[in-house]
Parts: sequence; C-alpha cells; structure tokens
Amino acid sequence: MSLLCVDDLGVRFRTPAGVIDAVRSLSFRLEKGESLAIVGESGSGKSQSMAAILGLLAENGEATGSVRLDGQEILNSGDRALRRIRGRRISIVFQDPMTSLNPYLSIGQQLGRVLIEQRNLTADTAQAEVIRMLDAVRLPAAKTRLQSFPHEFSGGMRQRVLIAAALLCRPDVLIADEPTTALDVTVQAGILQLLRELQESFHTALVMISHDLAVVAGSSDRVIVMDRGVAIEEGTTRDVFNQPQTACTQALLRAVPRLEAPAPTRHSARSDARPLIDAKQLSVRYPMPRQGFGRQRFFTAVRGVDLTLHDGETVGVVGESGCGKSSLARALVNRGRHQGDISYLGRDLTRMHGDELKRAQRDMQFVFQDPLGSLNPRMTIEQIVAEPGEIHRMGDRHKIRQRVIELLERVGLDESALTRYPHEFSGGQCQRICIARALMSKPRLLVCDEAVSALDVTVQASILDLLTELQQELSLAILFIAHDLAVVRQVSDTLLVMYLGRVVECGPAEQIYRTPRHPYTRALLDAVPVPDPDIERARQYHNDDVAIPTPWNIGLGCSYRARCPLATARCEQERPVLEAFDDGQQHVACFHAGDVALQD
Amino acid sequence: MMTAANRKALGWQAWYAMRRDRLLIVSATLLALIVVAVIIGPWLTPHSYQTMDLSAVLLSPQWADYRWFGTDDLGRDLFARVMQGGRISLMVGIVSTFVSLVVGVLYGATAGYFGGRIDHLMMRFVDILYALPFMFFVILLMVLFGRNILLIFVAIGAVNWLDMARIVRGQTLALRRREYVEAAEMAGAYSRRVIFRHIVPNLLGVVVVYATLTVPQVILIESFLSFIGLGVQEPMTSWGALVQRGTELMSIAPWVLVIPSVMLAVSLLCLNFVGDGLRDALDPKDGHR
Repeated sequence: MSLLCVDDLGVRFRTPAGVIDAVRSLSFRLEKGESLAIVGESGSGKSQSMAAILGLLAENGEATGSVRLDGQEILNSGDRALRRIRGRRISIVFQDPMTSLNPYLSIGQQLGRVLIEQRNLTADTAQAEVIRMLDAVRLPAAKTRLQSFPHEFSGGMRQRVLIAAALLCRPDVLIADEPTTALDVTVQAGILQLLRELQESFHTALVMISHDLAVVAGSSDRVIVMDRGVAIEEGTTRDVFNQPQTACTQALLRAVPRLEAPAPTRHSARSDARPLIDAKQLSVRYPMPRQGFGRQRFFTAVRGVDLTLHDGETVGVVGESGCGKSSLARALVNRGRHQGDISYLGRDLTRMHGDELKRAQRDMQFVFQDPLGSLNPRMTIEQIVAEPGEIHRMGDRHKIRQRVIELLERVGLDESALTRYPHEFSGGQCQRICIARALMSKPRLLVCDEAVSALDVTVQASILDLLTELQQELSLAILFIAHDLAVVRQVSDTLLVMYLGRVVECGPAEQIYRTPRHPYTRALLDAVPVPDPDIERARQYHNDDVAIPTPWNIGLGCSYRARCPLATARCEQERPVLEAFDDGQQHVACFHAGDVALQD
Repeated sequence: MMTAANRKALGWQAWYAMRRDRLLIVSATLLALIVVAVIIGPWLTPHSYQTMDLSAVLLSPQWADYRWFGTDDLGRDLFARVMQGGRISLMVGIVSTFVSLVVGVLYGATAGYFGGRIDHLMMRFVDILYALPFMFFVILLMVLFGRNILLIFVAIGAVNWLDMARIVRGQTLALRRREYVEAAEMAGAYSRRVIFRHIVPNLLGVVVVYATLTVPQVILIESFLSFIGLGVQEPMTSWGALVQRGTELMSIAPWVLVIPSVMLAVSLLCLNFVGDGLRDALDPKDGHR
C-alpha cells in the first residue's frame, strides 16, 4: 500500500465568470521515502492540487476525487481532522521565506510552539528538539540564534528555518512548493542539496513543486509534468529528462538556460566608436539611520566600478542579491546619490540639467523585476504605454496611439489590450507591456533589472528572445542584470561579476564562461542547476551561502575570503585589485587568478 | 459581460460595477431621497421652521393641520425644522469633508512624495496645528469674525484636513516605492504628473473610505458646537441641535428626539455604504466580478 494515494483529484473554482477547472483528474502514488516532482508552468494547477490535499483551497474552491493517506481518506475530511494531519503527517514549505515567518516572534518561539502544540512537549524538551533540527538544516550556531527574529536572517537561512519547522514533527510527507524560486542561484543550490540529504536521513517522502525542470533533476525519483490542470506526462526522472514524450515537456526542457550549450551567435555590434555610456569609479552610498545625535554613517552599496556601454552591446551584471547591482544600474541612469564620473555620449551626465537631462533620460529606459508591480493598476495599457510619449511630447494623440499599437504588436500583444488593465494579463505579458513602454521613447539604452527573474522558465526564454530581437532591430544597448549566470550568458557580450559592491571579474562573456578565474564566478557557475538527473545527483555543492559577511564587516583584505576555498593569509591582509589576464580582456580581482590549474 | 467599447473608461467600468452592488444602489437611492427632501421639504409644508405657535405645543405627529412630524415645546413645526436642519447638517458634512479632502490629499501626497526635509517641515506644521486646542481655535475665530455659519465650515475644515493629510502621507510613502512610480520618474515625468496620475488615483480607496467616515464626524462636531452655543443659533437649527433638544423632551415627547435621530442615523449609514461601494466600484481589479 502506498503512503499517499491520489485518485482522480479535481479542483475547480467557482468564479462569477464561470467555473474554472484548475486541476482535472490527477492521480499519483507516493511511496514512503520516495521523492516526486510536479513540474509545470504557473497556472498549471500544481500548487492548487497540493492545497486541495491539505484542505487549504480558497473559499470558492472545491476538490473532488480521493486522497488516501495510509489507506485513510483525507480529502474534504474537515478542518479538525486535517489539522491533525497538517504538520504532523504532511508538511509544506512555501515559496516565500520572507512572509512565511511571523516577524514578531523569535525563531525559537515560533518553532517551539509547533512542538508544544502538536507533540505536547515541555518547553525545555521542545527547545532542545528545535536546536537539533536547526543543526540538521545546517543553520550555523543554531543554539545562539534561537532568540533571533526572522529579519535577522538572510533569505536562504530563512528558508532553512522553514524547512526545519516543517520537519519538526517528523512528517511522512514534505511538500516543497517552489522552495528556491525566490532565492539566488548559489543559495538555491545549497537548499536543494539540503532537501536531498534530509529526505534520506529522515526517510520522508518529498513532493517538490517547481516550474523549472532543472531544479528538480537532482532531487526527485519520479516526475509528473502538468499542463493546464492535466498531468500530461509521468515517469522516472531519468526517462522524462532523456526521452520527453510530450511537446510541453520538451518545451520545458528546452527553456532551461544551459551553460554547456554552445553560445548563441551574437552579432556583436561592438565598435571602437564613442561609447554610449562610460562610467569611471562609480560609487553609491546610502545614509544609514542616525543613532541619536551620532555621526551620520553611510552604507556603501557600490565601490569604484568602471563600466562602458556601446550602441548595440549588452553588458551583463551578475551577483547575489545585495551585491549592489541594482544600485549600480540606478546610478548609471543618474538616479540616487552617487559619486564618480558618468559620461553620456561624451558629456558629463551628472552635470546635465533641464532639457539636456530630459533628452538623456529619454534615451535610457528601465525594465523592472516585478512586471505587475511596475504597471499602475489604475491605468489602461494604452495609457501606460503612451505615457513616455506624452511626457516627451512625441506627437499628437493619434500619432502616439499609432505607436502604442505598433509597439504592442511588436512585443506580441494585439490591439485588444489597449483598453484593458494590467491585472488582466499574465506575468510574461505584463513584462512585454513594460518593454513596450520602455521602447516608447525610442531609447538607446535599456536597463533590465532582473527583468526575467520572476518569470517561469518558458516565459523567461521567450522574453530573452524578444530582447535579443529588439536589440538587433533597434541597435539598443542593454544593461542586463540578473543573479543567474546561465541567463545572463544567453544575452551578454561583456560580463561584470559583482560581489559586495565590487567588480571581482569582468571581460568578454564567452571567455569568462570558458575560463572563470575568480572563485566567486566559479561558485556562481557551479550553482546553475543542470537539467540532467545524473549530473545533478552526483554534484556536491559546498555549502557556503551561510557565511556571507555583511558589507560593513569586511575589514581589510579580500571581501570574498570568508567563502573562498582558496583563501590564504595574504587574502586576509591585502585587498586584490582588478588585474588583466588573457590579452588584457579579462580582468580579475584575485591573488589566485593566475593559477587556473588550482581551480580545476 | 461587458463589450470592449463600453468598458473603455474607468467611469463606465465603475458604473457597471455599481449597478451590480445592491447595497450601494439601495443606500444611494435613499441618500438621494433624503437630499431631495431636505431641499424641497421646507416648501411642502405651510409652516415655517421658526414660527412659534403656543396653542400647538408638543403636538404628536398627525395628518391634521399638516403637522406630519408634530411640534416641539415652543410649538414650532418639527417637519419644517428637520428639513431645515438637514440642509445645514448635510451641507456642513459634505462641504467640510470635501474641503478637508482636497487640502489633505494634496498636502499629504506632496509631503509624502517629496519626503526628506520637505516632508519633515510640512508634517511638523501639521503637528503644530494639531497641538492647538480645537475649542480655543473656534472661540478665537468667533471673537475675530463674529458669529457666522461660514465659520463653522472653516473651523471644522481646518481641523479635519490634518487627519486626512497624515493618512494620505503614510499611504504615499508606501506608494512612492512602487515600481510603477519609479517607472514614471524614469520616463522623465515631472513630480506633478507623478502625483496626479500615479499616486492620487491609487490613494482613492483609502481616501473615499476615510471621507465617508469624516462626514458623520463633521456632522457630530457641528452638533456639539451648536450645543455649547458656538454653532448654528436658534431659531436656525441642524440635526445635531435637534437631537440635543430632543433628549431633554425624551420622556414627554419622544418624537422630538426620534425623528431627527432616525434621519441622522439613516443618512450616516447610507453614506458609509455608499463610500464602501464607491471604493469597490472604482477599483479596476474588482470591475470584473
């Protein structure tokens, strides 16, 4: 008998617009200690089916079919019965580690309460158990962190705490709903490995939900692929990856950005002509809240970065969250406080004002990370896309309207979008609208700040294609910011790897991919998940996401030394500067950059 | 289902959403009836709101002699007085709220949007005005300008916009960090455009709800002022003043209390429902329910 038997599960939502079938006739078996992955694009019903099993559907939702846990029917068995199952028998880890923890309770209190309520432990034994579990998820110095509050942890550590919370009652089934989607690639690799190990040591059955096939490659025995509420493919992980049967699975696999694939041929329009933007020694610092009458202190987000952009060129900026890549992008388009020189077409951008500045601003447009959040919910798509045109007085209403329609068609939407509001569109469509708006003023530079990070892999791939096409048509310069090297590589000519506000490696993208010289670049490359179960299973990712120093306690020496496998005494004493390698194109700030042999 | 053409404007969409909200329709209709009644009411009855008739003191409501709502202890016709009082109460409520809404939203949005030193200065000014005792302020106005119904508007407006400004500023602080605000700034929009097109429309939900809460508050403040003799003066009246007078006669002539109270309560309730409904109807996300 299987641990969890799901038969003919259906989920439907009654909405005023009609009944929506979110999940249709889903059946699967989950054995003890097995690991199952459910993969599909957003809206394919993967999360809703799990919510149905746990009785967590929204009020207008309704589940049909049968779900048996150890032979006992649990579907729709009422809140009281389910409360005994949730947490104790079946646990869930959600996507967003920021909102899943109560900000007003310390970690020790939050986790202890679970044990006291569910397993009737005394406060003392509960605390000992919590410490044991936090050690199990490799939270450093678990004992001393019981009194810490959620905001004192980084995203990856919070996710570890949540996993610990989910495992506290030794559940039979652990459901991980997109557990790494909100995290950096390096952190993601650590969490994935942790889940894999915990599953083995606790003999827990694991259900992993993800939109990205590569993420589940290493940690699942079987895969179910869902498309629009239906399971269209099921099989062992190896079979699904090696012989995908349906077009949908093939598309999902194709969409995964790969490192080992040959580089897309790019028509590098790079010339020795005057650069569009040339920034020298750019620094950004933010004032910190003043302590009483103390001296004003600053937090430096970007330290002395040089950057050059030509028409038609793409520069990729990579780094973990908090490394200053967004601050750098804002400084480049002359927003926020910054020091250093930025010359725009040979003129000093920081000294521009009035019409000249407006003209320069018109040439530089932004695409943000959150597609829905960057569209005003009270404006129609026409008003949104037309706005830059109105601001820069690019013609009468009729002319602007024509251009809005043109742009919408260019990004793959039609005229019917004009009168609709942002919430009626999917994430990918919203991002297309954002791109259309950015192109309205005919810019020469497009800054994409994590523009594809919040999207499904398939959608991500199509947006990247769109950007590449647009670049070739319009000879746009693009500053592409992301935390995932595999994504950046697809579009970039030149690459900047940033760590805690400094550039640690830069040069032609292809060259850096072939011979990464900085250990950090290497770690970023290693962390990219590969859609191949054999490679993923074998990988041992060294778990270094827990030792990230905060930018103000670096002190002397190399800022990466705490995480660096190559760190020596010299790295403690002295800060490496960017040095040229390989005919002066690749620059690396590391004392060990010369001996590539050491790194292989 | 809506066709593409007629859902073009937010106004249309709001209209369609409103038509589906039964509570809103009922309360808006009732409110409209009350407004019409207080406007034409005084002409419907042969009695004047200020003529005393000592032969008809404390008549209970009856059809005879057009004494629909009865009379008060001075023999004045209650129907005429309630209608007249409604004019004053609703006018004070709506005009003062409107004034405080316009001033408060502009002030608060400006302070919140610019932030930093400007915000600091503008909000400290608000704090100073807050610290001024309301009664002292009203008495000062009376001394300077003499008794005038207009002064009530000024006094109430001057106090109420402070709350609105604070609420709006708080909301604006959250809104200005939204990416669509940043997107507009990066497109080169001037502050005025950002405030009016991106911030103020998104404040609507909070502002409308707060405004509907303000109207009753203002009406009550006015009745309090009238009670201590700083508001409307006899024989002119307002609902608040009528209720005040009614409480004294509660045991012998309950209708003198009940009728204006019911009018006041129903109006305030309707206003709250209309506010709720308007907020929902004006939200594009809800337009498709």
